[in-house]
Amino acid sequence: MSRDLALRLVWRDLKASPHLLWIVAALAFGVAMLAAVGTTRDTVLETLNRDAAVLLGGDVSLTTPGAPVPADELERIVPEGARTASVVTVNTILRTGEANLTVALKGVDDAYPLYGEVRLEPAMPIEDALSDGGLIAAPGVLTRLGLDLGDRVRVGEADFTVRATLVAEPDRTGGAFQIGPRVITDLDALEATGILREGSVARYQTRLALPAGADRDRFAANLRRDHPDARFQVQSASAAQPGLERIVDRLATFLTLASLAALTTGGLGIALAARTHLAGKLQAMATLRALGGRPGWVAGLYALQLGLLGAIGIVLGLVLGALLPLLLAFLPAGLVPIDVPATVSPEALAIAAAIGASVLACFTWLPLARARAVSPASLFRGGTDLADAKPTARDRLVLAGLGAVLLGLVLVAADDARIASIVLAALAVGTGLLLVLVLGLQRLAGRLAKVAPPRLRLPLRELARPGGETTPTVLALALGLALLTLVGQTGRVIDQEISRQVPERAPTTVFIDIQPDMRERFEETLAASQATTILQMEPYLRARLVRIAGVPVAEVAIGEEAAWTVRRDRGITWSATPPEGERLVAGDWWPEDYRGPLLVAIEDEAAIGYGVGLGDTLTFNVLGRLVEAEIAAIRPEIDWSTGRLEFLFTFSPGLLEQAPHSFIASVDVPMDERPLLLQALNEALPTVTPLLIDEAIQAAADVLARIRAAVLAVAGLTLVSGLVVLAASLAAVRARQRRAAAILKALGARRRDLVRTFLVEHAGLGALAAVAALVLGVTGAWLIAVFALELPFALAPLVVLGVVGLGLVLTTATGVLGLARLAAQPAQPLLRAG
Amino acid sequence: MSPLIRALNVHLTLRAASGPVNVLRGIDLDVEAGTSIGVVGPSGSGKSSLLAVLAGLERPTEGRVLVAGAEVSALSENERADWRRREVGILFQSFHLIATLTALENVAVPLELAGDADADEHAREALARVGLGHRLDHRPTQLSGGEQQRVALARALVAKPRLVLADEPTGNLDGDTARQMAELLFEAVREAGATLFLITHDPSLAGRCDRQVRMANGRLAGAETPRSEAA
Repeated sequence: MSRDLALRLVWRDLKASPHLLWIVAALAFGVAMLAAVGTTRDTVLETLNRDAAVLLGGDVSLTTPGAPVPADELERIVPEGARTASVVTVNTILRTGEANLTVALKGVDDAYPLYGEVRLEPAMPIEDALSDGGLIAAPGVLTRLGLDLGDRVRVGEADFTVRATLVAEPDRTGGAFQIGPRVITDLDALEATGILREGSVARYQTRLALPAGADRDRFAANLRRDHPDARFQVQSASAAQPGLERIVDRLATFLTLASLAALTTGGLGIALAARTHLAGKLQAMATLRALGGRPGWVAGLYALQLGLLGAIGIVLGLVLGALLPLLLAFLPAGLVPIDVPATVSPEALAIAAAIGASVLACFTWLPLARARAVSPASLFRGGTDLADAKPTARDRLVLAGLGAVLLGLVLVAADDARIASIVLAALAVGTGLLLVLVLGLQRLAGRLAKVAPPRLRLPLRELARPGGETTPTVLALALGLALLTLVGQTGRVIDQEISRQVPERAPTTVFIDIQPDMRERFEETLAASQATTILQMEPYLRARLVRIAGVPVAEVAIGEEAAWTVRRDRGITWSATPPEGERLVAGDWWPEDYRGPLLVAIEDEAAIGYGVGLGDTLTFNVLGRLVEAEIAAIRPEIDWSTGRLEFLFTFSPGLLEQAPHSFIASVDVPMDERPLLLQALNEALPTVTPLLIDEAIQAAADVLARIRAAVLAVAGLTLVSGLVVLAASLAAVRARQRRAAAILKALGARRRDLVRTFLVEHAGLGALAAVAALVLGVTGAWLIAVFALELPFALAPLVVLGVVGLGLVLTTATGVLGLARLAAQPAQPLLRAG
Repeated sequence: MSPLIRALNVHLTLRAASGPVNVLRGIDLDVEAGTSIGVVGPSGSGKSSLLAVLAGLERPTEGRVLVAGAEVSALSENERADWRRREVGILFQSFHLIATLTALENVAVPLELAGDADADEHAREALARVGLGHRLDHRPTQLSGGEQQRVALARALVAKPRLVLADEPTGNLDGDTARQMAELLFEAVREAGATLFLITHDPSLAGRCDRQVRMANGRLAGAETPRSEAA
């Protein structure tokens, strides 16, 4: 049949149907979001994972006490293409001839650092600083020992030249607290000092940077499985930052959720726009068929039309989706705290395009099938409605097939197929529930219409009318609002978790060796700087665990995850109260005034590793004296990355207070005031040692800030695409209202009557949708928080009310804006055309 | 001479929400080629449904319909569409022009559907015949009701169908315009040598047909009235 006629009809119709732009907009937004998330997600996650690797110093690290992993063993372990670096850490004394200082010395080889960058002052490559007996020292060392660059210092039997001060050390989270400030030398030079003799307490690390694409967690797990008796302890970067890993996982879940939400709301917008469009074209379709157009050809015209629009939408979406990350890359650094790749991922674009096309096909097939089924004989019966036509069994089969393709694509595109399946299933159930809810509310509107004042009866009846646009419109509006509530609320839950992990004021410096009689002086000195705050000050002494439930440690089969805790002395403390905001895993904290037999609180993972529980005893060697304590409380796993002063073992006050102890304090001091403060403290209290820990904390906080930004950006994008859909759904209502307005005017309705009628209807639509959305959105968010994210759910009333209020304002505002035109339009042309 | 239209015991039952409705209940009708037949009857008597069945737009639930040499009731949906394009022209009460196309384009649609390379030329001639040679590029909304119906008439006749089905063609027009339209319709059909099946409430319009039948309650009721008696 005539191709020219088809193209002309398609083109003319497109020109005459501006509301079809919603299809373009809905698809463009959905596809852009999918493409942008698809392009950036892998890189963002990779960046976050790389940050974790930077903090550990490698993807995987093998740690052995006392001696390195033998070379032949290492050769068997290291996979092809991996890079390795050796690092040895040991606490030792730095001598200048006049003064001594305990330092945490780190010997590194040429390959160090595998990830990240060591920054020095003056700026120079690390290999230059370490060549020919060079030494890098933390700024505190120079202050404490009165050294300048170029001065000579001695370690063991070797002399070194101080070449640079350490500004940033990427892998500075190894262990809770070092005994002194950091000093770095070349590994060979360190060996020449003679301090690494047999039996030393040095810690040897071989760090591995795995080839691109390798799964470090699996590699670490295989290594542990294949070497059950190895002397080395295997740690993967992910496990080194358990808090971070959990958050990264949740980010992936959230991105999946938000993409699905955008996709679904986009699909709804498309379905509504297609439905409205086709409902208006039924007469033209029937006429063409009466003139001899085959049903397939006529339906094909409109399929072609929708397909063309869809293609434009998809192409626009792909361009937007590809450009968005590129545009972000041009923004000033710091404005967007995410490393955005300035590349385009063809795979992500292809998947986004395929999903967009499937969404278009899925959501337009039914309206098209219905339109195709409308009998041309309806031309003699004064019109028909899409809802009158029933799709055939074949149409249902095709729809099921399209649905399966879409489902498959979504599962391919989603980061986590399990969560995507849960969300999709929940979406299906939620839509069913919404339908029931909306139908119930419509029935209620019908009942109200019977008892309402006469002027309100018409709009109420419009709301209640079965088979009209109300059901699909409210359904789409409610689903859109519910998804926005869900995304907003879930984003908030994640955001809260991140805020919890990033303390508002992170310590930049930790001071150790504060003797009890120096506390007052210490506090006074710090008080001189107004911007400086002491965040925590805890009693501190060192102890070694020697017996577990009465059995010597050497005879206990300690779990791998807790083995490190018994290898050497650990910092311990006592406290009358539990750490702020912490929920104990088991047991109770002792009363504040408790002074009875010694009790101890230990970390959950250690308790599991030791195989002990509440009521069991642990025996410690505290300064040569054996002290037994009963386990009274079990604390959740400690996240060492937060910057809080944490202790593996926290005791009840009393007995330990008698032992010689010092205090440890975490302090937040502005970077620009720190040198002065250190100077002042050095003069006032020369024996108090500062540890500059801000780098590590900052690194962890940066990662979390990036995740937070990603969550907010994605929630914002979803919101925008949701609004597009809501606007589309209201366009469907307006098309009907135009006809209704013409009829009402002809029947003698005044402008005021029209305004009231449509305003009530719009507000009613909004209210119906808002109620349904609230119920479903909040329930969904609760389910996701508790079961998928495993985070405590907290209702964010502002988010919920904001989204729902937005929906209401939008519906009413669209009503008010459209009303002026609606009420002013002359009735005659519409009536004549209809 | 065999009849152009032959309906044999035609039944049509439509399904409605309130249950099945028997719209046509055993119609038997022959219409000779080149003649005109006027169908009158009250609203809801099944006139338009009979027209839809004859046009192949509705398939009878029971019985056979033979029109212009084809057993319409036995054709598939696509075959009926092709057959309709060749043999039938339809005129609706509400005109049913395609709003996005001009008058010329509307008239050209049946020819273009048939792949006629000279569709525009023929459409122009058809519009000139109904006196709208000067309104070729106007859209339906820019035309009066009478003009719209004349465009519809040109469209119904442009493919030179053997059968013209007209459903209340003057029902939406005022008295004068309706009379002019009727004049045009009968003249054009006669010129084309086509058969006219006309549904109307207007006795004078029905009276211009070669014969009249009355429908009531889904059946052809009472005796047929030849034109001479009605006139």
